[in-house]
Order: sequence, then structure tokens, then C-alpha cells
Amino acid sequence: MSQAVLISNRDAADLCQEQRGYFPSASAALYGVYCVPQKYLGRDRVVVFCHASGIEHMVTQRMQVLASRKAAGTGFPAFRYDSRGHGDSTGDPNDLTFEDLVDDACAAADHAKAVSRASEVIWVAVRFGCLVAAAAIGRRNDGAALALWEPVHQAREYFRTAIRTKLFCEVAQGRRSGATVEDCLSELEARGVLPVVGSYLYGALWHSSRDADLGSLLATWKRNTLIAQVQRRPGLSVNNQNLLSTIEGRGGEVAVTLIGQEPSWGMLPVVRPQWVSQELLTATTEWLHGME
Amino acid sequence: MDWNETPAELARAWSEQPVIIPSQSGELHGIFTPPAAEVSPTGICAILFSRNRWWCDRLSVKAARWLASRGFSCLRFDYHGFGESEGVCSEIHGDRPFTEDGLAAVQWMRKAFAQRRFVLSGFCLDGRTALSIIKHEGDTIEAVVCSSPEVTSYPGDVLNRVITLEKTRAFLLGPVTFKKVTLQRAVRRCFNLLRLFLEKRAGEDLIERQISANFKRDFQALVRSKTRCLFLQGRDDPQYYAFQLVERTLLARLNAEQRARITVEVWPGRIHPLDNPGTLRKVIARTIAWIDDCVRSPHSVRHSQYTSAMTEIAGGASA
Repeated sequence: MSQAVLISNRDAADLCQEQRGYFPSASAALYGVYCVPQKYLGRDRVVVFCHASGIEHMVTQRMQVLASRKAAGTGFPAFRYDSRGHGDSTGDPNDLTFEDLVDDACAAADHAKAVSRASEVIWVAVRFGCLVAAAAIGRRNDGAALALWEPVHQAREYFRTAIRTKLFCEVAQGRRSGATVEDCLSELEARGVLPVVGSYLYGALWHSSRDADLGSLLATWKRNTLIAQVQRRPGLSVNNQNLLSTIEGRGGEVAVTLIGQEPSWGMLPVVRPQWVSQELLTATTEWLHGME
Repeated sequence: MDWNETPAELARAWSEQPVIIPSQSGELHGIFTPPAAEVSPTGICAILFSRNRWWCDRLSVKAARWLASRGFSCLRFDYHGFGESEGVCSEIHGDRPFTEDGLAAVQWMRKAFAQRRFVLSGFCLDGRTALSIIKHEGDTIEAVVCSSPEVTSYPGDVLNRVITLEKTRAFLLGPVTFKKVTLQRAVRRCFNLLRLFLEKRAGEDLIERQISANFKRDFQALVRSKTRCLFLQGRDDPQYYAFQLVERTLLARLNAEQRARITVEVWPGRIHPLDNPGTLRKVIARTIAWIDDCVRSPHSVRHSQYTSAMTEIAGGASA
């Protein structure tokens, strides 16, 4: 890792040190941060955070930062990174494919294992990142556990949600284009790019990921899992309930936490700070410790 | 502008250095991009303000690497409570810029990287943050780009735009959702306007009192300094309607030398809504082009004044 520096973070409630810098994945330079635990409880495992996409990355970034520090502060080495075309990493998002995101997740896991000397990975994935982490797990044999923060179950639905948010914003401003979600998807197909709120959807990612399905990607997964549903509804959604039943049916242990404080996933946090949920931070840390 | 990453920008990315900036709110995390060795250095450090340092389509990342490949040192960082920085940010208000964070960044770049001359830029609140630094660091700030800032102390429209024909038509013809949102906004704004009527400021009529005291203070600091400034506005933005109060009062009182350092560029349509990423790209393209030009070309009176209908720029960038 180039230009690594050691720092302390007082607001993490627990002290940890961070090594920040760039590491390679294919020809890209990916920004990554390794959070060094003061004392190791991770038992040969490192926590790797797999981020969300587009505006949702912006919305959830602070939570990942705080969670990685909290994990390290309580004894688990943790690593967070930006995929190519995201955050501080290099790369153009317009030719980014789902395979590229999975490659980056694998490169991040390899790097995290190398710096922590761990042999297994605990994945903590957010929204679209859940699909990426699930695909990465399928490629490797070092997945020890998986936390899913408000998982996207079908990639296609992620794109549709982003488009619905764009159309809603237009209405809120008194503009009504008359376009439907299907019209916008057709435009994405035809032009290869579609502006949405504060960002773009790109044809390369749409084409390469639209059929991705979390249940299928985790078809053989039966290790420790946390499903953190972040929705206003009081019970598990059908998708989350099905995933829980399937993994438990294979003998996997699944913990569930329901977080009612839902951010506006597809909206830029303009008048509000970035989303922080102490409840989710606590639930994730407790889940990590529950595995010890 | 080429929004694809160029080899020169990729090279700058590989040379970037994470930095930790001490501040009153704790440690602020940022990325320093050194200038390319193969071009002549400008001797200027550009600080690109945004909430977290790649907020909204990573425009600060692109800008930093583009400017660094043209000889600028660049810094982008997270405000306290954002991104990787310490601290807690409990609320955001358009009239309360992150001045302490910005000052900490300038002072840290001076101390840690021996930077002496700065240009600052930001959009909306971040532009106000850039402007607010001049009061403290005016001698070292070469230029500021302040895009579509809020200049009132309350959200919503200025008095002469509270009810307009277009708004009435949009309300009547708009869908139910729009009507609900509009009515909620209207109730909130009634309270704001009531506060404005009750506020007393010596020597100011109701029109001028709409301009926030904070903005006036920062604007006066700009006038006293030697800093050049670009205000970028969208003709149909509520922020520009409010800025017209500044044009009628504060700008109108400046002498020729003072006025020559301040450029107001008004684009057709709106630039403020953040749901239009194409417009945001055009704004950042114009911002970094102006910074680059500003540093390379000597200042003269003819560079100033108003530029309207920047259609060649407004139409020049796309995804």
C-alpha cells in the first residue's frame, strides 16, 4: 500500500489505527483503508466492507467508515475500499462491469488478508455491494461470514429504484416528463448512459449485472449470516425472509436485525448529514462478537 | 471536457497522499494531489470544498487530478462529521459554512506542504465556505469560485418571488404530490418571513435585510482583499433571484477596482438542482477552467463584469 499513514480516530468510541493508501486491481489504483485493531479478537479473520453503488455509496459511506473503526476498535481487523470508478479510486464508471466490481472485491480481500495475515474473510456488504460480495464469495473459498445491510436482491430492482427516484424528483420540481421507468431503461439501453439523481447509470453495469440475483449467487452459502433490514416496515420483507429460510435450510446460522431508521437511499444528502445508525453499528458489532 | 480519465490524471492519482488535518472538530481526512512533475508548477494550491471529498459524481476527484496534471497542488477533504473525518455534523444550513474546517485545511497545507498561495472553490454551501475563508486568510487567497451560493439566512425565495405567475400555474397544473410538497414548503416559509420582518439591522431596508449578515461580512472581506472571485449562477435558480439583491446593493456600491475583481457569470436555466448530473459537470468544468485561466492570465479590469448566456460552456459537456 503506498503512502500509508497511521492515525487515530477518537470518535470511533474505541481507538484504532488506520493505514490509508492505494492498492492495485487490474490496471486501476483502488483507495483502501486498513483499520488495525489494538488487540486481535478476529481469530484469523479480517472484515472486508463491500460498498454500495452510485448515490447510495455517498449515503452509506459514513456508516462503513464508522463500522470499520468500531470493528477494529473492538478487536477485528477491518478493511474498506473504493471500487474502480468509485470514491477516491481511479477508473471510469462508464465502462465498469459487474465483473470488474467483483474483481475489485477479490483484490480488496486479497490485500486485506495480506496486511492482516488473516486466512478468512468476514464480508460486510451494503445494498448493491451485497450482490458483489456474494459473487466474490462464490469465486473464493475463504468466506467466513457475511453481513448484508439492506441487501439489493435483484440488480434489476436497483436500477429501477434509481430511475423511480429521478422521476419523483422531477415531479417534486413541478416537471412531469411523462416517461416511465421502462422508457428510461430503454434510453439506458440505447444511449448507454442515463442521468439519475446526482449521478449516472451506465449501460456496461446494467448489461453485466441486470440478471444478478442474491439468492442465486448465494446458492451454496451456509455460513454465519447477518441480515440487517433497513426499512420502516415492522417485519422482514419477503425477499429477506426467503433468503433467511434458504440459508437456515442449509444449516446456516442467520441473525436478523430490523433497523427502522431508513435513509433516502437514492437522494443526495444535501440538507442532512450523511446517514448514521447507531443501532446498525451496534447490531453489526454484536454479531461479530457473537461469532467468537 | 473529457470526463474519461486521462493517463495524466491516472498518474496523478497514483501519486496522491492521504493526509490528516487537525481541526477544532477533530481530525479531518483528505487527499493531497501533488502537481505533475512534467509541467511547470503554478505555485498554487487548489482546495476543492465538498461535504465528503467525492460528494456527488466524484467531481472533486476529477477536478483535483485535472488541475494537478496542469501544475496545481490540490487538496480535497471531508468536513467534520462527513466521510472519514472525525466529529459529528448534526445539521446543515446554507448560511452556516464550514469555515473552521476550511481554515484548518489552508493552515495545514501551509504548514505540512509549504503552500503559500491558494485558490478555493465550492458549490452552494461549499462555495460559501470558500468565500468565508477570505476574512481570515485574504492575503494568501488568489481566487475563489463560489457557485450558486445561498445569500439569505433563510431557506426559500426572496420576497418578490414568493408568489409568481409561473409558480401559481405550476401549482394549479401540477400533480397532487407536487401540491402537497409546495404547501408544506409554504407553511415553513411563512415562519421564516415573519422572522425577517421582525429582524432589525441598522441602515438596511427590508430588501437588503434579506441578505444574510454572514454573507455580507464575507463579501466585505472579499472586497477588502485582493482576491478574485467568480460567482456562477443559473438565471432561473432561486439562489440567483436572491443574488440579484446582492447585485442591486453590495455590488452596485463597489468602485471600479473592486468591481473588476469580481465576475458574475449567469447561465441560462438552472444550475442548482443536484439531480441533474450533467449540469454539475458543466459547473465543475467551468470552475477548473476559470481557476486555470485565472492563475495563468494577469488580472485586468476587462476580465471582470458580467458574462451571460454561457451557452458554449453550458452545451459543451456531456456524460
